[in-house]
Amino acid sequence: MLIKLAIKSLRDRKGSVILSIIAMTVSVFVLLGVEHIRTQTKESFANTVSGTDLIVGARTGSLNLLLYSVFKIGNPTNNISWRSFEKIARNPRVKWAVPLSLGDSHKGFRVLGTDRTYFQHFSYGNQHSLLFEKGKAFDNVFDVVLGYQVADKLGYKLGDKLVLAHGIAKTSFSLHTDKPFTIVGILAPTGTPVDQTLHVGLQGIEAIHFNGQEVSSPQTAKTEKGYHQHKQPKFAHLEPESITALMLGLKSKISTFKVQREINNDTQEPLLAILPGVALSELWQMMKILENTLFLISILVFISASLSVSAMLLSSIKQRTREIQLLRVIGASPLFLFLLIELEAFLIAMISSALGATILMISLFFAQSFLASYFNLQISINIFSLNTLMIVIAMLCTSLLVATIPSITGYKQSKKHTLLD
Amino acid sequence: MAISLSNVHFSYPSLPRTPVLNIQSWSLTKGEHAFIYGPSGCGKSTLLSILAGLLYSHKGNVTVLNQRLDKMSQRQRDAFRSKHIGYVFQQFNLIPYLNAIENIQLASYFSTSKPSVNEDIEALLITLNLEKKDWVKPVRTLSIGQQQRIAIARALINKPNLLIADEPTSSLDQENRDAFMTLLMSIVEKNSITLLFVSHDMSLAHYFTRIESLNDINQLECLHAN
Repeated sequence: MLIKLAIKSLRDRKGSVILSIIAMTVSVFVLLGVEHIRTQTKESFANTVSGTDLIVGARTGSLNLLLYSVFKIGNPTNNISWRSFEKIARNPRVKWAVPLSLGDSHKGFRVLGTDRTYFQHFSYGNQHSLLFEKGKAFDNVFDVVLGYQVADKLGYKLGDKLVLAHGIAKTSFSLHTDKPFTIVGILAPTGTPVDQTLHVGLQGIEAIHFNGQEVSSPQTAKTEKGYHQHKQPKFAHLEPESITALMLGLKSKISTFKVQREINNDTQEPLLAILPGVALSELWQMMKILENTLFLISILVFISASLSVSAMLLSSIKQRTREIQLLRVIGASPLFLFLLIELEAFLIAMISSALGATILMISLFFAQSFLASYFNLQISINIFSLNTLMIVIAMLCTSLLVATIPSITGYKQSKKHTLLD
Repeated sequence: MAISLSNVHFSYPSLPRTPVLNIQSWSLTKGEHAFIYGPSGCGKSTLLSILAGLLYSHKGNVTVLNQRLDKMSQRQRDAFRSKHIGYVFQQFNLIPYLNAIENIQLASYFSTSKPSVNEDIEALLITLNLEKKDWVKPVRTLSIGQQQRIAIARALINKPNLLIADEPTSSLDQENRDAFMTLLMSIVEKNSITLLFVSHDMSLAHYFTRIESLNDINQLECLHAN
């Protein structure tokens, strides 16, 4: 009866109740959204690289190097020479070295130039290696291996041909149309930026830029500074001159800092070697302030929404003087009226939470591919976790707590009620 | 005795120096139908509030249906009221957004003794000449005459021993008023319910056997308007 009365009385005040629900839905949406994206980003970042001891690139900030080499976010500042790569690879402490060359794209997906060792040594998450869903690694100059999402979104099959574009924009004016690549492999899904990447051999990268007809505009050349340079036709061989970065695996973890120091102190070329884990934790340090600020703001938004619901209920008590009086006369206790108002607040919070969560899931569904292709963020639609459950429970409790203000008013007022005309 | 008052003095806690009620002795026997008239401002609402257990008198003896209301806790008085006393107001007798049946169920819900029986509710509504199609409409869409009839049904669902009616006809027109009074008196008669009817409309007095002025009951002069 209490529940029925609460629902009917809320329905009777549709206008103000709907506005309150909207205010609260927005706040639930913001709160859950911030929390979900926060945890998902962290998870997706932390899972992206494992088993790599050092990442080496041109001298820059360690975060910048980590972001552009592994997460393919942002732009490299400079390239490193092929000679430096060979020198580092020859170091007796180094077990394996994988070159990375960035700068081309295909329909908004980035292209990574590397060699076959990449597929052996790159690992993600809990030391998972890359697996081929179909096909195999590239053999020829014009072979390409697609990440899972690339093949899925663009609908490519093995044997299809595609052309690469210079630069990383979705629409590029300098397509390497005369050099089509053949798809020879498609990787299994990993939930990392690998899914969004096309992999070709370093020779492939060199080959598409080795052409007299292929001239990029000066402006492109300027903005793409730091990526591989477009080669002049006089270079007839397909040995790369420079690469963007390289990943290293060492024979013994103990030598990590020694090798790092050797690379950082290299006199031949200014280089930077970073430990991915250390750089990631630096990233968290930076993100933490932003995260906490966002979280705090969303909590404040929620509290203000709860207060507005309470204000609505409080003014409704004034309007419902007669109703409260009547309920008292037919035998309702003051406690019943307290509970009635609390329940109304709770119902509003419940409906808002459900709506907020649903809208968030719908928005994530639509934003997912955008986030993946522009920020390389893998955000899952499933927002249900212990964490979000705790937040929802905390929100419901908060709204109950804030609603004690109008509820106590209702309680007190109902005690005072007599048969006034 | 349905009601027995002796030495009841009352003043509101906010105005302790202004006495509102001073009743030496007044009583109503079981099954009696009493008509009390008087202008407003003579403590009418206060008296009814005390009889219904909504207000609490510190001084004097308030006995309703052989129970000492002044000795009960608030919770006990709430329970007592919902079980034994039916109440019909001048207006706003019903929750406007609930329909007739729900309004009556609500009254039945607060009286802990008997769970709501839909047959009882339907029988009451039929007795009160309410058409079946109006049972499930929100009561605010019904006419005032219909609402007052539902109010009687609501007041009677818990089979009260005492029915208090506080100007129940003042918002009705002449025709509806007579129909309402006839209906009320016949139901009260049939169920042998004690009726305390308060009104300033002397034209209704002929329905009653006992007629009294509030001024005779309350020993105070009517100074303050309500």
